[in-house]
Amino acid sequence: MCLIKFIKSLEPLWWSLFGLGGAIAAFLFPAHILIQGVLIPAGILPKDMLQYENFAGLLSSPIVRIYFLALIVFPLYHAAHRIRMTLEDLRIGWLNAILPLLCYGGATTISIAAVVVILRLS
Amino acid sequence: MNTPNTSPSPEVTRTYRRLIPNTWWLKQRSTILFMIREWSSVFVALYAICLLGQLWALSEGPERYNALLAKSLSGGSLLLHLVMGAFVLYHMVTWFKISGRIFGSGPLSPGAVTAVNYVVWIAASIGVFYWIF
Repeated sequence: MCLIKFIKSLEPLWWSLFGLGGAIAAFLFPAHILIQGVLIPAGILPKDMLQYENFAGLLSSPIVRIYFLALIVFPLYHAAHRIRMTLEDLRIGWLNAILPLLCYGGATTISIAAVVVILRLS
Repeated sequence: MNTPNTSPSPEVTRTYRRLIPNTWWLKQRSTILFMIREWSSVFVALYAICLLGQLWALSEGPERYNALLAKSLSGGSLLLHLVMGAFVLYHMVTWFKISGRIFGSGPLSPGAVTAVNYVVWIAASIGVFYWIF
């Protein structure tokens, strides 16, 4: 319970991450989904863009690696905060007490995995 | 005999809690749209995890990456991305609208702030296309 109290005391941090992640998802995700997930599989854009050599070459730049890390980490915290707030609104009694731990803990775990993957690409 | 100074029993002082069913949001169109907006964040998280999966496969080497690439070029993946794209677009539209409400004051009307967001979004999307791909 002490840990959950501590997590709740970091509310300003979760709000900041929520805002930043929401903005990143709003401004950048549509283009990524459209290009990588729709136009290339549909054959409208060439597959070359996603070939191993090209994508590995792109990720060889530290700026691009940091860009992709930000693209993954901040939207995760955005989602964690929204899912927590929505489930609290839905009043699922027993779950409410551990929601902050589940949501922010989940986002933090995946973010650590993202940092490890990015470091492996360095 | 009860005296006026006797403390009331716990039952009397207990806070009244109005019972609200957890389907409260189904009663109005605005709250249904609110819930769709909130749950769009699940698809935001899902796409972030997809990106992580792609980078993980890349870090594992060409064999693993090419296997994932073959799957990501399939019809199922295209459908999944169309669904994720629809929810992310809804997130975008509502985010820009809220930005207008929050930051729109004085000479900048809410509509102007939202419009600026769309202009920046178009520029960012073109940037992603030319810089990243």
